[in-house]
Amino acid sequence: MQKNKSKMKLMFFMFAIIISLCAITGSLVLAKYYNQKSSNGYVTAKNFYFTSNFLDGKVHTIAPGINSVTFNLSNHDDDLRYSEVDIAYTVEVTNGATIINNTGILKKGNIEDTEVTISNLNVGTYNITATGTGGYVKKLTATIVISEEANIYYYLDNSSQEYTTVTVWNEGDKAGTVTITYNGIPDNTNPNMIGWITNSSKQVTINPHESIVLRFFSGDVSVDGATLSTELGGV
Amino acid sequence: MSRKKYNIKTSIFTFLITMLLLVTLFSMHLVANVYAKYRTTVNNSDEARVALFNITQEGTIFNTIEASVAPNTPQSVELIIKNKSEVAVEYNLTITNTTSNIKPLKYRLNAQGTSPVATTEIGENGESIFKTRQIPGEYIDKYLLEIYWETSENQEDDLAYMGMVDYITIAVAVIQIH
Repeated sequence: MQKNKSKMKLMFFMFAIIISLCAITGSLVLAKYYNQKSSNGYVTAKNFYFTSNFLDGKVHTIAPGINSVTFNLSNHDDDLRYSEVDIAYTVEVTNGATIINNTGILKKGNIEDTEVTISNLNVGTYNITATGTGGYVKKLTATIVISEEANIYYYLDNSSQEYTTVTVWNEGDKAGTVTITYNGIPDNTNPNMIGWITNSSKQVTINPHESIVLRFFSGDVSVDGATLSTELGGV
Repeated sequence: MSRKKYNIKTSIFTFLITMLLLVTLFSMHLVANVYAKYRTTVNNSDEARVALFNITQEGTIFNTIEASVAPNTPQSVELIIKNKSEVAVEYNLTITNTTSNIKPLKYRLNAQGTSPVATTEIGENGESIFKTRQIPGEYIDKYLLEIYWETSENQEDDLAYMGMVDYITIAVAVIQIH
């Protein structure tokens, strides 16, 4: 029994020595130098605001006779939020209009606005595109529509034996003037004909989308500067 | 009786071993003398020591990084590794984006001068890992870590990330490889 115990002790001792030797040898073989250094940080995506008080993606109908439009391009959304990058802008327009200040740079770091003018506008449709580039790219658009000028029609009804009525109306977006020449007696009770005299001519102004009715007793009537409407069968 | 027998055997064994040792010693002496006739004097000395591992890491990469980026406007930080090691080493730079809000954000490690060029890989957890190796010797290796953002195919998609913030950690490890 005693002998077995001694043998066990000896075995354990030898085993411990072998393990220690293996560990020392292993560490000599496997140990490697290692050097590490680290840091933290954050990455922010810069703010980019490219805005306009006119280029809102919508269609703007401009009154006839106006031949230029001026609007702002800005590098901010409000007083506190402004762009952190310089914005190079380019403005383009279709239909041959002229652009004043069509390129430029809105500097970063502060609120900045610039005026752009689209001129030489005539009747028609103009698509405006402003492209702002500063890492980011943003396009602002709007469409300008300028309606035709006064678009006046008249209809003459002499079906009655006693009088002739002339209806004049304007389908345009601008007031128009026509000259009424007549050989007869104007109906002065008509609010549109107060002060008219016999056998004369009068200029009448018709506002956009309005109409007037004139009545004459006998005689011929002609309307200059307007188009005869055949809508009702004409005369 | 048996004990006595055992002692005799032991004595014989001890005697033989002793003799063998003596013969060996004697023969070594003889051989040494014989060879000594042809020997020239050679003096040599050497010392054993552990191979040197001397690494210094520095550069703006170890400051708190406060990068502010926009598409196509990268921001860079510098990494300098001064290496005076007698062992080959691997440089291992790992960038972990802990928030990943700015999806198009990428990283590029540009070797400066004759510094070894790093390879890039994406880790299992989305880390950007750059690796390169340097042979033993004395080197100053310089790198520029670029934090960049390529413009999206649909350029106006980038506006969705405006003002977002990502938190990153950067670890630069230099590990002995041989």
